[in-house]
Amino acid sequence: MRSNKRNNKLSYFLTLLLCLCMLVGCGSGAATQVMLKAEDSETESYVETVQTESAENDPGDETEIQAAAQVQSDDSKQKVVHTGTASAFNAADVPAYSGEPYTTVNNNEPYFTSDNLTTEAFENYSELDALGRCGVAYANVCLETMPTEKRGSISEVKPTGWHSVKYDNVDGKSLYNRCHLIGYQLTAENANQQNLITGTRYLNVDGMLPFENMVADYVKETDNHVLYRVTPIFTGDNLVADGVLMEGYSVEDEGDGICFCVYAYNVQPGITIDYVTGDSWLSSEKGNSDSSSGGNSAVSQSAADKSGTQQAAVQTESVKETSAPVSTGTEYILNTNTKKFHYPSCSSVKQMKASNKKEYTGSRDDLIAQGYDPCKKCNP
Amino acid sequence: MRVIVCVDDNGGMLFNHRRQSRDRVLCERVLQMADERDCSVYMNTYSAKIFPEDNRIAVSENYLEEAGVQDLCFVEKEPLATYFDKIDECIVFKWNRVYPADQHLDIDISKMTKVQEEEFVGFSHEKITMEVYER
Repeated sequence: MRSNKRNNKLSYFLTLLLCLCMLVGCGSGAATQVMLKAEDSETESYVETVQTESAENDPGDETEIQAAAQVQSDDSKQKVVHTGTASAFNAADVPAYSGEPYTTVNNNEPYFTSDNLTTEAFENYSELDALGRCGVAYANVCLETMPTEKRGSISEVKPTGWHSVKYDNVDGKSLYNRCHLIGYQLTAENANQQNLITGTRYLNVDGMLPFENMVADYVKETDNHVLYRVTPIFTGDNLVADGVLMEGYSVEDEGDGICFCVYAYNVQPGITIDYVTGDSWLSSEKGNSDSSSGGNSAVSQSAADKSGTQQAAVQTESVKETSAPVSTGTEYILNTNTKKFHYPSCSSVKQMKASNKKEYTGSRDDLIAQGYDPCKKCNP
Repeated sequence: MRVIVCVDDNGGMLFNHRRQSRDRVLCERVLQMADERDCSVYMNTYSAKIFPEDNRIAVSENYLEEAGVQDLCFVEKEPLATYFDKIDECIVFKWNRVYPADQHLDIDISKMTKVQEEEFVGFSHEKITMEVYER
């Protein structure tokens, strides 16, 4: 009896101790949930004091969230590097594209936690993975990170899946843009290959740019900080991302000014894309479903599925009609003001006003036919 | 009723219950207009946060009902379709940018007559266009 009582006391004490340990262990997690509901898998690396938490990616999830645990360390700069991604995000929950360039995710609440809130400026771009693909780009955007000069050339970067293809039914003709994960207007990154993916014109202009504009103008107006994270979402070993998860949260006013969590689709209405390779063709051809209506996963199967038929379709159409993709040409930089064209490496390009600069891929003869003259310095 | 709205290139006004953008020069313009017209500017608490404290500003959550005929109403969140017949003047500030939007201006401004258009440089916007429409 006495022994039983002692045992009861002991087990009561042990239970109490266990509860206390659990409370202490959960303390930080509970604090973070005060601000935002979702837990975040965050990896932080400090150059001097290394503090690493493991990312919690579901290995069974078919769609990888790239670079969850990738950390860029830069000893020379001795700066605090932040990365991380929203482990609670599940790409499978994103509805198929249905005519809008982006859709809200997690009730438009970003996956940042209160631990992420800081007024210290930082930028981090994940190392490229084994396939050369970009991972998470994460920054605390503020006036300090924003550009003080016009954007430079980025044409030397060839992100994974890159093709120079043009269609008449695409605004500006080029299907693909070198798409900044974090826009130039926010962190002034030019030809940073860790910040550029192969994105459709539609993703770039209709999907991502509005958010970049909103954040940039908010920061300029308030001098506040905005946590801004863009995660490219790749299925399997695809070279072209299905889309990007974009998160933004204004720090000083705790999201009163900026708060969003959206998924922007890497699609182009009227064009079907093979996300495995970046090949593309008109949706109206070959009875293919439009990537704009069928969702972009419809053509994301394994490389084995990408038969020679699709390749042949692209090549045939380029001969058949003008609205088909044009074969890869030479890249030039146009000055729309002086009507001169240059090689991207020409020194005149650096001096060109951004508003006059236009990237062009095609033939020299076509440019001359359009009224452009070759630069006398670089003689393109 | 005289209303002031701010829209992007697609007629958007809000995203995730937040204004798309703001500009302090625009706010100064609004107050200047109130001065010139010798009237008050009515708005809700949310909008009042981006204006300096000023005796020309009247703050109320029911401001669209409370404003006088000659007063200005700075509208950021409220749908206006049900008030359309009462609107004698609509002042539209255009950001000349595209922002995300899930709430748009819900009145057909083309049914009114544009009587004035003016561009000015904002604090955080290169070009803001002010258009004035009358019934």
